[in-house]
Amino acid sequence: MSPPPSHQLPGRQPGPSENGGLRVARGLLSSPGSLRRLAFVGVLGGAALLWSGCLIPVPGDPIDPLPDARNRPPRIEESNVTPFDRIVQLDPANGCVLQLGLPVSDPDLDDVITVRWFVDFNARPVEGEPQDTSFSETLLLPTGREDRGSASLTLRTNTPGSRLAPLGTHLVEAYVSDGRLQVVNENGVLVVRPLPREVDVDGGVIDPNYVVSYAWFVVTPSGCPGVGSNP
Amino acid sequence: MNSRVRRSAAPTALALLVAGLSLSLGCTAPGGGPYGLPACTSDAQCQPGEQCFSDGCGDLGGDLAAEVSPEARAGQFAQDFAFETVGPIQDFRVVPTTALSGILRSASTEDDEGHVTPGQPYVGRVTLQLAGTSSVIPGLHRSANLSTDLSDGRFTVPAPSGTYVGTLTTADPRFPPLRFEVEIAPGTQEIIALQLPDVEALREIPGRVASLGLPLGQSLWVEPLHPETMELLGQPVRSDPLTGAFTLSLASDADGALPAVRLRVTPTATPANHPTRVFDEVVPDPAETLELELGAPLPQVRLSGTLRGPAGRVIVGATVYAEVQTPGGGTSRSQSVQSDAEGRFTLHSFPSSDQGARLWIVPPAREAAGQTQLTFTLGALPHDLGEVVLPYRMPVRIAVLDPETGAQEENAVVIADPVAAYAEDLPLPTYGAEGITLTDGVLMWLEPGVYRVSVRRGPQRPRLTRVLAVPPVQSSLEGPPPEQFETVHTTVGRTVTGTVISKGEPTTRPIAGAVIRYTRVLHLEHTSTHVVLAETTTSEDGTYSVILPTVPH
Repeated sequence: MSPPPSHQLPGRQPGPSENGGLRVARGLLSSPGSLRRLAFVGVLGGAALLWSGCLIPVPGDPIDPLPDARNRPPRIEESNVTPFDRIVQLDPANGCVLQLGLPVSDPDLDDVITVRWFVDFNARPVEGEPQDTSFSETLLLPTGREDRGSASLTLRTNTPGSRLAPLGTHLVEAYVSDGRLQVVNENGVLVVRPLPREVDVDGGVIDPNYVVSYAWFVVTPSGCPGVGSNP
Repeated sequence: MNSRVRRSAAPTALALLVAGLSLSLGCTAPGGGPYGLPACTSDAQCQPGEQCFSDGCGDLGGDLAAEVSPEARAGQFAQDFAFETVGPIQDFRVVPTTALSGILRSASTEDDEGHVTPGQPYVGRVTLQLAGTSSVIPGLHRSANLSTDLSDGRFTVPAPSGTYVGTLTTADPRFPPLRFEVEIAPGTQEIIALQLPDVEALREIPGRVASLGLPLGQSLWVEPLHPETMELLGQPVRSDPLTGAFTLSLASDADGALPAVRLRVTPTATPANHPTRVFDEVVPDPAETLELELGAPLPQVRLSGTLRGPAGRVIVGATVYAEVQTPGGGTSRSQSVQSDAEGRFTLHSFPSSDQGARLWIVPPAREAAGQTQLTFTLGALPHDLGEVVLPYRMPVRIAVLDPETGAQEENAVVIADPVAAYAEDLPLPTYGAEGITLTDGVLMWLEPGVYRVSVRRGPQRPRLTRVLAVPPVQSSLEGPPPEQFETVHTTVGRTVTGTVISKGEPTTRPIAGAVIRYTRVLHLEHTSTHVVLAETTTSEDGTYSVILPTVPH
């Protein structure tokens, strides 16, 4: 049985000292008859507990209420990622087509999942070059269940501008987030980060979004269509 | 199963009328492409109980298939199921492992009396590569690989069900790659027997690759290919960087003759100082050294320019590269570069033959500017193309409509995936597009091509799909082209539940975490493909539930 989604978890409830518990006690103590009945019941109850060997709890601090529900990260179902091998050799026998499939799930049922695809992502671009060179982006809408289906992508070597066309090994990455993704420059290095879900007034992150990633190494041999030597 | 979707005359006539109206309005009719106009444009044109698909009116319950992936990590790959109809309960019984097994032997021998003695099981390292497609769901590519040491010639590679071309390559470089075709059906363990050529029939062909008679100082790949099919007839070899020497191994026929081959020579280093060269009609002779002369090293030429969209805005992040036919007959493709924040690009290429340089410019997805090719002659001096103005892509507005009220649905995710080229002389689009519908649908800028459009909506809503042909933009138009308006109609859904069960021996058990994809097969004019109708994952007890689109009542 899966846990309830975060938005269904109970929020912070008022403690006993904040609600009507004390008012009820004062009401019970307000009349002498009530006081006698209460004392009798108390003695009887205490004797019963002692007879049964129970310890009588000592009144202390109220139990802390449940914390606010926090975001939980999405998950890549790695058991059924396609292709399953991390190192993929493109094969001229099928035209060097690469079909990628990434099953994703998220315990927070209302979250929209963003999957951003990169091919040979350059984390250290020279100045003036575009900083977000993602190939494409896929959104996975809530399905009412944890599983969101698969983000899929088809890459070929013979499409104009194919990033798999140069001979050799390429890195294909998928970044999966339950928030909007952004590419930020941190001291000259590009990093893929999700925008936070909730930010404090001082800029601190109260509730973050998460990102998980998956990568394949794809080898393009010389027999693939559209492939040639690089001067 | 897999009968074609029925067509009726009335929708076709209406489609012709629509085509005529479109032409009279100055729109480019997609009938110029190989896929023609769809035989219907809305469900209202179809018979009761049918819906409008890319290839005509059809029954939503027909041409259905499902892909079930139990657990690839455990070696249980995808298995396909086809059905005539899908009821409210649909269970899947998968086998623990669908696989290809086989044995690799050396060549058999035959004595004078005709008795054949099987060869010895091969001992050594092999690499097996399977590439193919699903036998049931067209357009679904499948692959499997194995690299292992054989001790008794036997191998097993778990693989998804499908139809494959297999290639087995031994670590012993003398043996050519073995190619075979095999179909792995769901629930089977296909068995093949492969035989290596007789060692006595193998011939070693010495060769040398040179530039103006001198070694290149770089290593090159030398690949012996079939002259027509371009299949490898022997294993690719690397030339020695210091001497240029290489040795090919080819199998002779029964008469001891060697086949004529094409030799493809490709530099392995980047930057290379020679293009890829193909030597045709090479007749190998073990007694002679093959001399492959590449000519003089070629200089690198700087090629630059600035990219602007049709409205004058600079285009940032476009992919730019050059394909060049060199004067000596070689071919080369430059490295891809991205245009910078000012729209400028600079790349390096070899000089070209007369009109032998083709520059490809591919703007990123979501841009209104479309890809373009420039053909010119690239000399030995730096070349600046100046400002290059790119044409428009086709603006396609997709609306999700309720067929009864005509109201547009907001917040639907629309995904357009390219599945085919629009015409034979046009390339397959590189990018698809994705967007979310607003009150007036979603606008996508698309290259000419055939796209699979998928509409995903909220929970408990069936996924909607159709195939869309996008024609080229007419170059004579001034300003942005008129929008191509397409609609996808909402449908009601029906729930299908079931269980995925492993048929393993001795126990039969439910499979948790299996991925199930219900698809519908689409028969286009020149090809077949599929659309995904629904997708889900089984829960801990192996059960699942999906919403399939169905015909409104």
